[in-house]
Amino acid sequence: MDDLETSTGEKGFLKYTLQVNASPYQGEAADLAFGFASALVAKGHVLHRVFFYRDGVYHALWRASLPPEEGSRLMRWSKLANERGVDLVVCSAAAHRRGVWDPEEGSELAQGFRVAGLALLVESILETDRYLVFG
Amino acid sequence: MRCVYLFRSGPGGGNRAREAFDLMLTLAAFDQEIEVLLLDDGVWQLLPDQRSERRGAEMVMPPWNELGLYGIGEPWVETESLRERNLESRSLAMPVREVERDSLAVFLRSFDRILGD
Repeated sequence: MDDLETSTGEKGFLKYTLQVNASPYQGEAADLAFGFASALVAKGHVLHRVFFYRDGVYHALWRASLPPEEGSRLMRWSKLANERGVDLVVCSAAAHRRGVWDPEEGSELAQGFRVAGLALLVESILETDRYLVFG
Repeated sequence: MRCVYLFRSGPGGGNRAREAFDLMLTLAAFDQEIEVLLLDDGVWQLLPDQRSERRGAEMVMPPWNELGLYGIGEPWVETESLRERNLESRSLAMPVREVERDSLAVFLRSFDRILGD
């Protein structure tokens, strides 16, 4: 690890792209993605971008409101973006398909999220040291 | 960059493979070297003459026959996945290359990026 050459220019630290395919409501993948994202940032690695694809785009629904016992599974991403400057990107095609975003009218997304195409994901995959997919 | 794209879900898996395919084609548009590997239920994708309208579903299968247009070669198929489903590569809708399960680790290690559906 110490002599690993990385794009961050700092030895031992890696630049990550995460892709979240899972909806916030089913299975463990979305929880796992958030846990992983928090852990790598805490360790000093760089979280370049989180790309929400497939049912993962439901993370960006700003009107979603969960009962308190389901806690922060939506807000926590906005918080991470706000505190750590992480780029949260929702796939335009996947979001359009699911009614999360409308290309004509635009749509309000949860704080910290923006919409972009698959090309941005590909760019991240090619630029960063590690690419992980959840769900 | 050498990338391999794994497809593991069958045609009954909704639009899963279709959305994965879109990402793969975007990657191809960036001039990356891409191989496709079908394994587990993914091998059902290449069965000929699939007609999802019979079960009232829209056709959401990826256009497998267009791989060549994007500079992607014949798909790889895991031999055991075929055998376990009583399939043979020559009964599939297009020519494929086979790779055995024992060689998969070495095969996958030769790529810079591994993606999946």
